Amino acid sequence: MRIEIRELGRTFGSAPAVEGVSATIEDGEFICILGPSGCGKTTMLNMLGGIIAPTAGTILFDGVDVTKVPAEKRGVGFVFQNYALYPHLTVAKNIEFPLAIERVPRAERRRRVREAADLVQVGPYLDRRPAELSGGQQQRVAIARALVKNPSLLLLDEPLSNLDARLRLEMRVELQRIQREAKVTTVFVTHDQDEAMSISDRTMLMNRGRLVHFADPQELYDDPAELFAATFLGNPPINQLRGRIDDGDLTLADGTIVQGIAPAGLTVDAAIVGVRSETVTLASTAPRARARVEDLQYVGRDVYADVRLGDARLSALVSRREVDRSLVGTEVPIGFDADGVHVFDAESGRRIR
Amino acid sequence: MTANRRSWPRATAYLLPFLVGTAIFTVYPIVYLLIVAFQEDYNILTREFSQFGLSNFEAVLRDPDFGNAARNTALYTVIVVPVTISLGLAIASLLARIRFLRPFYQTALFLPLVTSSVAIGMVWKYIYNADYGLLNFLLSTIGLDPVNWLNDPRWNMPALVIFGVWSALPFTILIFVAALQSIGEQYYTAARIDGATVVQRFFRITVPLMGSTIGLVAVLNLIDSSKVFSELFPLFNGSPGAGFSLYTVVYYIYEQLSAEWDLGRAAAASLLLFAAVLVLTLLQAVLQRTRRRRS
Amino acid sequence: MRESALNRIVSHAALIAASAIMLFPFIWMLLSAFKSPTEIATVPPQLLPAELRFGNFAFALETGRFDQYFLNTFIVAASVVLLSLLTSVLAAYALAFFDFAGKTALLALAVAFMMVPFEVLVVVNYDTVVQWGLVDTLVAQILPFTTSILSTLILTNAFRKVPATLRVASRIDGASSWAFLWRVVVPMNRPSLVTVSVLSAIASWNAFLWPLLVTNTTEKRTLTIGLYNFITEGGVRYERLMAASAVVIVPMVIVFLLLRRQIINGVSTQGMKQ
Repeated sequence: MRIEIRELGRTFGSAPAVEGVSATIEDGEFICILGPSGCGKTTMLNMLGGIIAPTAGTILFDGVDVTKVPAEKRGVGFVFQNYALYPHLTVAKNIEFPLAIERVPRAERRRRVREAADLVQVGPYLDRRPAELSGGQQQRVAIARALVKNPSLLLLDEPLSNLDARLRLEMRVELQRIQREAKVTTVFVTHDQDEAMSISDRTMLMNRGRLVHFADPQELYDDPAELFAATFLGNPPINQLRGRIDDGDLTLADGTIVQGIAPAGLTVDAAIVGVRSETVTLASTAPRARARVEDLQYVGRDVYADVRLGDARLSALVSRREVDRSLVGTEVPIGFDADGVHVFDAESGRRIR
Repeated sequence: MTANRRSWPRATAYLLPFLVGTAIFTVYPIVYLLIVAFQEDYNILTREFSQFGLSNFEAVLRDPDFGNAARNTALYTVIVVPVTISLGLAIASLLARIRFLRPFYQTALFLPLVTSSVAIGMVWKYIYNADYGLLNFLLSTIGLDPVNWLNDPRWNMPALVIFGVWSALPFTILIFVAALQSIGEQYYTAARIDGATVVQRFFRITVPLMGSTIGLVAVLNLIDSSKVFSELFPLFNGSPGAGFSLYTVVYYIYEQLSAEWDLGRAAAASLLLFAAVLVLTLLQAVLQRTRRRRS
Repeated sequence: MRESALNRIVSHAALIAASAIMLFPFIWMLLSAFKSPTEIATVPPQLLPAELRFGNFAFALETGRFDQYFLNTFIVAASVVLLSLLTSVLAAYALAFFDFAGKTALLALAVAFMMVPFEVLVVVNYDTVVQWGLVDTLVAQILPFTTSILSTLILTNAFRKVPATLRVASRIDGASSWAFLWRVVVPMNRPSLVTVSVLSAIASWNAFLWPLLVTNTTEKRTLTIGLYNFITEGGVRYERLMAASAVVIVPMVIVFLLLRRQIINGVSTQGMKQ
């Protein structure tokens, strides 16, 4: 199902939780809504599910306006953060519940429960109650219950957050498999960027109720639309250099000049230059400035170098072959790979280049 | 989420049967009595009255029968409540920390909760029988003279009190046990390590920690015993004891209605009883609060 | 650390004594119900009947019309339980799951009204029943108890413990609020429903003052009233009276033995609520 979201907004009291979000989700896509807590991602999901009514804008399912259609009539599947399984019903009865409400004939019900249970692999537990299942199994049952009525849209609210780290990795893969097999348009809320990056076809990055950037995960990382996108994604966080850009040269607050970090001809009074650590090179053949190596942290195959450039500190990800301990305390020529350098307006956070 | 101000119509639909029933059989009578109590010379057949005023209250308070009723009710309450609470607390503190045979004890001690007081009252009537009742037999075995429990005005009150305590004990024990079980075992363990005896533990730990529950149970028993009335039916065939020795406030109200058809006085007497109980309840609550503040 | 053996023996001895006193009237009733008129009045009292005579029970049931009373009591109690359960479930659902203007005030009023004893309201209610022409009917004995503030408050508290996300989940599953009530809330709260039903069954079975007022013929009397009239009309024949009392008491004793835990829980929450 194709979903169009137009200028969607929701205020609680006077505080806007979601504001002016527009986006289009294509049929069969796996979408993540990603953002820090309080960014409005769960409100977005609840509005898609009809659990919360928007205060502005419209939602269209395959061109039909469903903005005012209540949850029970939207035909969506929903997986809750705490699963919300009915504690008094067995696994089979939990999965069957939506079909029983719909008064689907008994034989068909049994067949579809079986199918859904097999899809999420909870077949052996059909007669147990939720309290007798592990977190991962409850999770699977919740997904089966959401899928059993063949929803045109599957919504998941941080479904992996209550699982332990190993199970979470396993369920990521499972979710992808289930989504592909069920061929259902899926929207998934998470605050975990790795989860969003590894699972989704495209990710909606939200901040303070606004949609910051909606693109495939790689583009989000490589080509962030705003400073927020650049800082939220990536580990370690992107390095930030503040200063004035004059014809491509950056002057930091203490007067240090980084030459040609931005394209020639670009002049910005107050800029923030974001530099990914993997694009920093030490002992560069095309140095932009000189920087002092303060510390080296060996993390397996890689080394993180803490570097001081004027009044700024940078973290550089370098290969073990490039550096050794003797560099600590010395000044080295430092360079940047142009692909990983983004220039933002310090005021608005908008990307300039 | 599901809840908002606009769910009024649907909420009302769910509430409606409850509201209708409660309005007719609880709210309406209360409001009606509140009004009738202040209507002078109310006529139950024509529903006419001369004016609003306090004459009903005046008449009730001046009525020597009401004074007698109030005295009897107060006497009954003053004996039954403390006796029930002391016995109940003692038994409950034994029961609370015993696991072996507990279902048996619970069954035996709580059985009167589910039995009709009229039916079991008949059994007590037989036990109280002056000629071949069990109680007089027990008295004779320890060399005491038989007592005419049900026909001698001096012995009517004791008979009613014994039955009253027996009836009130199960509820009292049950609430105390529930409260006692929420007191941490560690206090008792600590006290035992400090060498406190069972009796010391009871007075130094149980009683102080149970303060608020004892207050609550006292109020509940007070409310109950101030309404003493239906116990008179099995024991005394509905008469207020020999020589009106058990003429209680609720009996007075009952008589104003069934014999005098004076709804105004009955309502006024009801309000006085309710007010007295309410005052004692509030007093208890205030005492509780100051006690808690001091500690 | 365990109590010393001596302490435990003393505790058990005291509890056995207390149990014996509380239990004795019941035992005495059952034994006496089998006695002959002579055995009833012997001095010193005779503990056991010489033989098991069922004649007293037969007399109570047939001549005393306790068969009719039993049926009436059952009809009244069953109706009261079912109807009050229905009205309380519906009201508690609204109070627990909906937010509407005046809800807090309504709850506070309900608690205040619950404190007024039924004995005080009996007169006006009697008048209502007279106005409606229902005197001496079973309906009159049922109507005032079709709603219960206590049951409603107990159920409201229980329903409040149902997580709000279950309601949202059920909406996603297509359930209306009506379906959610009957398919999720009610089955989830079965223990509370049992407690509330048992409490109202006991109260209805043992009701005395109200049925005494609104009934005046054998056909419509319930057990407690029948028992009271048994003594006033037939004179005191204790062996028969004990058999009749047993007929009134034994069914509730059986209920108690079967549902002891629910009754104890129910009574203690009832006590804490007031």
